Amino acid sequence: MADAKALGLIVNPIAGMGGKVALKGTDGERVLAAARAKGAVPESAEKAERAMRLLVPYRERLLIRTASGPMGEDLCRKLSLRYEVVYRADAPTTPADTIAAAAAIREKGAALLLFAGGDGTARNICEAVGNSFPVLGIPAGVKIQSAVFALHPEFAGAVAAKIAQGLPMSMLSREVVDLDEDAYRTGSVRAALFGSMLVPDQPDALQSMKQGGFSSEEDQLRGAALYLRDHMDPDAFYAVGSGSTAKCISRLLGLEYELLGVDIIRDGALVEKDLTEERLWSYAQTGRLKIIVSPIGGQGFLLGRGNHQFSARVLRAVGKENLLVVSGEAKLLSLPRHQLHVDCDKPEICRELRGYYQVLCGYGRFHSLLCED
Amino acid sequence: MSYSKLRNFHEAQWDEPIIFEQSVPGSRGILLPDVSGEAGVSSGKGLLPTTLRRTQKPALPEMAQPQVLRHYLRLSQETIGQDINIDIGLGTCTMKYSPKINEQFVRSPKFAELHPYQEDDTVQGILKIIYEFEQIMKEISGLDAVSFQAGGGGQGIFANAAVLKQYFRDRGEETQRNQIITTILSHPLNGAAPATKGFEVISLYPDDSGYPSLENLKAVVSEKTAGIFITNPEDTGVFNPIVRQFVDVVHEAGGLCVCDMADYNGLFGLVRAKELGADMCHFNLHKAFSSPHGCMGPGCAAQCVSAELEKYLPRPRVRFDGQRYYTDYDGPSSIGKVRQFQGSLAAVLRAYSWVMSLGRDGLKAVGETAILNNNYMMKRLLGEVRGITMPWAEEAPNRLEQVRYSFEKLLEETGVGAEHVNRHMLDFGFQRFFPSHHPLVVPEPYTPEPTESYSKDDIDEYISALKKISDEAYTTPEIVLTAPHNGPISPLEKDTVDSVDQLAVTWRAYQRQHGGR
Repeated sequence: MADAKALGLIVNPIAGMGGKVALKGTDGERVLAAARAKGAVPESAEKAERAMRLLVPYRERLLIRTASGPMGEDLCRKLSLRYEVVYRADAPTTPADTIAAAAAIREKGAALLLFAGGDGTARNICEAVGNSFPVLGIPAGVKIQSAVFALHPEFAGAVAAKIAQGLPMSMLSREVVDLDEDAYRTGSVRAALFGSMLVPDQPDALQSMKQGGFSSEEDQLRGAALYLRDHMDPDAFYAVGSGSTAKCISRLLGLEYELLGVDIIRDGALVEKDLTEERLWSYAQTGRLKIIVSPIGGQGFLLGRGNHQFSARVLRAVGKENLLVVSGEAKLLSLPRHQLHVDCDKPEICRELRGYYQVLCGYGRFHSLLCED
Repeated sequence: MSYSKLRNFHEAQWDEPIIFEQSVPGSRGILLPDVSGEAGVSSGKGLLPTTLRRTQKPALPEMAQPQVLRHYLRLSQETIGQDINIDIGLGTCTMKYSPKINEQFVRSPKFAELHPYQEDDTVQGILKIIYEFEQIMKEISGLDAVSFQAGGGGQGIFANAAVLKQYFRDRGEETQRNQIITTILSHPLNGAAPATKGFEVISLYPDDSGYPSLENLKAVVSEKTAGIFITNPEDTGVFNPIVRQFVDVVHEAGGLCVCDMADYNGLFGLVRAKELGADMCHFNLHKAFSSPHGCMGPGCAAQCVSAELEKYLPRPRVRFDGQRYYTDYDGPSSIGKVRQFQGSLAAVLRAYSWVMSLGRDGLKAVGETAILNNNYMMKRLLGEVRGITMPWAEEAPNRLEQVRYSFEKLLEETGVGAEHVNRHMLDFGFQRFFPSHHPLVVPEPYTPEPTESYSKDDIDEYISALKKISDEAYTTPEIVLTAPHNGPISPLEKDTVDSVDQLAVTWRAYQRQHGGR
């Protein structure tokens, strides 16, 4: 087995536990304990298995480098995959274990490092391997905003299977972002871009990438940004929401922006960066505020997930007709039932924001989607 | 399990070099007598502008006749097409038998040697066919005037978008009515062609019924609406039963309805554009009307419009004064030409012959047989092939002429996706199937279309291959994942070029991009 292909595997056993009990992630021991108390069960092992199962046909020519117990060893044993434990962790595992395991795998070598987790896990992996080692995320966390994850666990497995077959694959650099979960839970979002990692250039399989179409996401967003620019009301304030999609207009105009914050632009210029709810409210009171947002991929939330600055009073003042939605086509296709959602603390405001939105997906190209709460 | 209908197929592999590599300097197919002593030789100077004149001889391959014949016969064995395989997989393309008698008509010198600049009086025959076929297409569409100038379905949609633009320009509403509505499951050109004419495009998504809701349409219709570009059924084969209400909503808002009839095969004798409420539509003569497409082409769209819109059709039109057929170039409101002359008349001639051989009852039998074949295949696939599913199966259990299936379940359960199945189909003597138009609303898509040309045995053989592949996916997935096995090449990695910087459509362009000449 001299020519066995080595792949890396790290499962974050606690990733995703906060989601179903509405805790917005599982960073920190206190939150994890709370999640367990609310009845959360680990899901990342199951997600990782859905991906790794696709490697079983190639087990003869594969060696999985992984960490002990629930961080990968257990799964390899279950699927009868040949493995080598390159790092040992004690339960309960911590972010330090993820970082150390990733560093060990990089040290020993692997054609691709698969990791099951969420944005927090991606951030830890990034810290260990940087932007020079091929990785791919198996989506298993609450927050999946980083573009280093496959669309589904199976897609991660399928990409790894191609590599297992010895197929050449080019890599590209994608962003790793993460929210500060403590701030996120209290509604005051502080977020950051943590770096970038190399992922396989497999657009059909990756989150936030083109869906095998004839135009790339970059082209679509550039078209959308040009359309926004050409149709901007010079007297209006535009609150540009969080995420790299909504910021397409800031990039086109060459303006500074806060990736996961809200910025105000007007007549092609930046007015204020990274606003609090209080500051936004002051603009909303002018009656000339419009909002540019993009749905979260895979979920469809326009509001109430990572952009709590858009509070009920701000949204009431702005109104549905001044809510501009931008997206690449692939993201819309990833939404369950192709529906958008809004969430805020006042149900009556949510009701007012229901209905159809014409989502801008290119220059003068709109997709009409239903929004429910 | 036995797959008695599957054949022991292997594709030909000749390892044949390209013809330029086989050139032997001095080798000739024909030796011409030396007549230099008897005939004067013209230099050609003065006949051609200097810039068009060659300074060097063309670098053509030099070969003898048997080597040339062998080369092309070998290449012909390495291709696959409608006449040699059961071409059910290529849905939305309506792969049907193209009767060979029609090839004799288009290759007859009476047709092939016509010149488009001939005087009307010397081409009364072909003008009569164009005129008569227009009358036939008026009957089939229910509309009032037809042009055959567009060279394909996309250009047919484009020509209709151009008419739409011109119509509102004449009414002084061109600036106001700058939006068109279409559906995400329509052929992408229903959005792209109007966008090329400067319209903004709003696409509607299907709801749980398999087609968009009336509420969604009402939410986007406004005083900006120029029209709706609608297809019924869409590629899913789901017939939208409330299409007439869709059209009425748009008409009430002042817009027009443009119907995409490219996939007309399941509607022959059953549904006309007029009854759907359309003001315009187009048909692909190279699909449903049996004129071959692909390498044998050429394509041709029949662009049909209402009486009110006739003045906008491309010119020239062919008219009949009771005694004589003539070309009419007069048309100050016309959108102008979308193509030279009268269009792809070979396609018109084949389609005319096909329709005349079938008659009204025969055309209806085409539509009914296509629907029957599709529903037979659907019932067997869903009942017998594990891992295949049909979106909106409960809401729309019966389909018209085609179905967009999904292999998502197969992928989730076995790791074998649509692309793997597609490659393995080659091992049983079938050409690649068509997955889906973009964007991929249905995951892991597969869109076959068993037209009226296929016998029950043909369909059964095709289903046998899918059953075998599905069984293999659940038992020995590696066989499917590494397919094809019975062809000359192993799986090739596909790549999508979507950046203008990377796109090179000629060798010279490629060299320029890579620092060459």
